[in-house]
Amino acid sequence: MRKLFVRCTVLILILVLSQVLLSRYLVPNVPMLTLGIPGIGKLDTYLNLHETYSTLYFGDSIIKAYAPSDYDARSIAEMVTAQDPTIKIGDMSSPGYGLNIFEAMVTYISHASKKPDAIIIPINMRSFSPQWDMRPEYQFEKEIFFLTHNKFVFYFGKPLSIFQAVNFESVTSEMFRGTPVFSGKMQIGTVGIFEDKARQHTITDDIVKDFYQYDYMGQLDSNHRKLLSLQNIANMANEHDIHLYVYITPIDYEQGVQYVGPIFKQQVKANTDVVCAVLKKEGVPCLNLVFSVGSKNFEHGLLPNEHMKESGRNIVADELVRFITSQRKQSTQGSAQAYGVAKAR
Amino acid sequence: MLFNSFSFLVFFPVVTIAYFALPHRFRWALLLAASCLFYMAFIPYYILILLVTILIDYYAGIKIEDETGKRKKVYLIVSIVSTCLVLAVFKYFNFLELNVSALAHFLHWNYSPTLLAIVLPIGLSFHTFQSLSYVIEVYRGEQKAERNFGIYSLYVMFYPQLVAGPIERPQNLLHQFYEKHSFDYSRVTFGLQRMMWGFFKKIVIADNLAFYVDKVYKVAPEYSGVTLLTATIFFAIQIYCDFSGYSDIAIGSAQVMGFRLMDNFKNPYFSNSIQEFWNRWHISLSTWFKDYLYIPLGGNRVITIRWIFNIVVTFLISGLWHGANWTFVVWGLLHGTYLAVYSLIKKYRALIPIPPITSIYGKFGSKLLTFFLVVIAWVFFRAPTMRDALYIAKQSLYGIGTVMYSVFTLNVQTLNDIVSAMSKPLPSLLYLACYIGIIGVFFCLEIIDHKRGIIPYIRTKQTWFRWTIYILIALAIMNLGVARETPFIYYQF
Repeated sequence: MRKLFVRCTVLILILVLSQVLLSRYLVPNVPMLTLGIPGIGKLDTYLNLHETYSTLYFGDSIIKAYAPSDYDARSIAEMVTAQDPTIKIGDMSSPGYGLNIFEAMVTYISHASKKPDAIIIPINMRSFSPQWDMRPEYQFEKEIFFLTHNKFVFYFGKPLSIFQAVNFESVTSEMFRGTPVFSGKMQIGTVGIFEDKARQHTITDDIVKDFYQYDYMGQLDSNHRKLLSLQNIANMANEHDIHLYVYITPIDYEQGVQYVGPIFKQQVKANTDVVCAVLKKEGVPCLNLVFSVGSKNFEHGLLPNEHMKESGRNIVADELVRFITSQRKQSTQGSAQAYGVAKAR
Repeated sequence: MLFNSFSFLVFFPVVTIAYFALPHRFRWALLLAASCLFYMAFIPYYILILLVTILIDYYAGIKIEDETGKRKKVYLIVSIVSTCLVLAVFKYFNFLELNVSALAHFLHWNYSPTLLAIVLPIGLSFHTFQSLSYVIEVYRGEQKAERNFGIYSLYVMFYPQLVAGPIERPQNLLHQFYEKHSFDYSRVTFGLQRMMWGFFKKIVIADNLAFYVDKVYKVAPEYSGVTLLTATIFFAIQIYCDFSGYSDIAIGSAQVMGFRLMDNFKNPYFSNSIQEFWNRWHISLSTWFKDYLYIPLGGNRVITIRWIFNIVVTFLISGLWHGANWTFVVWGLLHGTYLAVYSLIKKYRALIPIPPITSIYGKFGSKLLTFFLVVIAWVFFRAPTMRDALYIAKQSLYGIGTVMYSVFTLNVQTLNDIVSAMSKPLPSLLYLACYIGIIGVFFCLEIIDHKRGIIPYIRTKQTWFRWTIYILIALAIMNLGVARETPFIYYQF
């Protein structure tokens, strides 16, 4: 028995060592072996090159250009840096990203030796809807596992997930489809019903109206898990002296009002108020751009989303630069006042 | 508890070490407790269902042995009926209700089905058949009734083969619980190596192929010809690696503790005929049906028509055993028909002047034909509905036509079309290359296994070679699997 025990121990040690080496050097170059989270690797690069990327820009796909008619295909991040080169941005945006993964990123940053000076966080109001919040592929559990665990543990993430020691699929397709959908406080169906509507051959006006309700009109509660993530982000940023520039991204509210009526704007306004109230409580200013961009600046198909043409992205970039500049001024004045008080004493 | 779970990776060494550490007289109790824990990891209170069937068959076994004449038969019938009743309620009640309802609808009768909202107890069909095997063998006088309730319970519940077999006979397993198994290094390492081989087949091959198969079969009408044929061939390999992988883990884990379970697979895809296939595929089930259904029906010692009837009925029930769905019935019927036709050809072959197949090409052709017939039958096993199954079967036949045409004409454009159809459900051609690589590795290893036995072959090699193989297999298991829960296919039966 001792012989077996010794041999098994040697085998396990060799396997551990091989797994570490494999994960560290080979896996990043072989996508079939990885947990499939190549985008997260950029974060380390940005943190190491802190002087070049002093501001990180989180966000989802709407940061980027999608409109085929765009002459200017720059992302909002690139437009901001072009307007004010002192805002040196590292773009960490990726489709489907939301406050859950942003929280994990800030957790990761809080443990890093080099930290960014500031983080820009766009909040997409659709990310609170069940179609986004509960979508299995938008849970980013692998990324969150990587960001919130020690790297050594991460090297064993794949074997641990194969043997279900960690679960990277906590939200199943059935759970997603069964999630109730609300307009205001009233349930209007389940996710499955709306997802099936999106697959119909003919998208009628009624379906478009349904989707404005599905995407934006559920009554937002301050206990929503994404808002709890926002609070945690604010706390961590405050603790590590990282400035947060939080803004609410524009939606095609004109078309929303056209299909649903004035109640659409009222409900969206109420929801953004909840977001801004949470930020205010944490001492973070809220730049609410939800109604700042008109319909003609959006580029979406028949069903609503928040992708903008270059004109729309330019509006957001302008507002953002103004916001950051004013925040920086306030911060400098605040520091000067504090310095003055200290000197007078 | 799934074999491919972290819980099992902890459970197995703990139970094994405790097994060898305990005195012999306590070992059965440890194994019984471990088996209960293993079963209760699924739905804990379902163990009561198992307990009921164990109690009935334990008592029936003793009474069958003690009684004579008609009363002996009555106890056998009561035992068989009550055991099958559990199976009928949990597995077939809803199926029966839905079919009665469909028939009533057809006849314009008013009938609304009462459906039970219950989850099928895991491995129900397996331990039911193992229990039946016990009472029948006691009735036949081939096995003495087990008087120790704990040992009998362990016979039904022995955790390595509890949920998906191999379906053991009492003559092979019961006496082993009384044997003292000492720690034998060679046997233990052999068992561990077999487990590792099982994990490799399940995690690296079956689970990866499942990704393709599930994607295509989920929305089968969106695909056609070659894509559906590819998915069906992948499923043929998937189900083999999944189930034989499970069996290897089961047999290996029992072997580590000194128990010998029967082999369940012998490289079935190298069979030259459908009859040979059934001698190599799920051996414990096919021999069960042969011993307890086919032979009691008269086997082949009857007139030809009755013989054919016996074959078809046996396979039809075998199909129904797999699942309460018409697709499984058709799968069974197809195999029954294959075997009936093959048996008839074999019987009357002497009258036809065809020389026996001895050439390498002839053997290859017969292997290919057997594989093709099995693959077509798998369509019905895998498809969720009869409508889908018929569509996939038809399209797969078109797919075979397309492939044969392009191979014989060497038409580059058609070959390109085939490759593009095969990669349709995948993100890129690289993935298809990986799939082909996986299947290539699988067939190479199967050839070695077929010729020499993969584990005995590796064990004859030098230490550095063996260790390199072990490390590579372990790393493949750790890294090339699918990052989600993937239960064994046969767990649902």
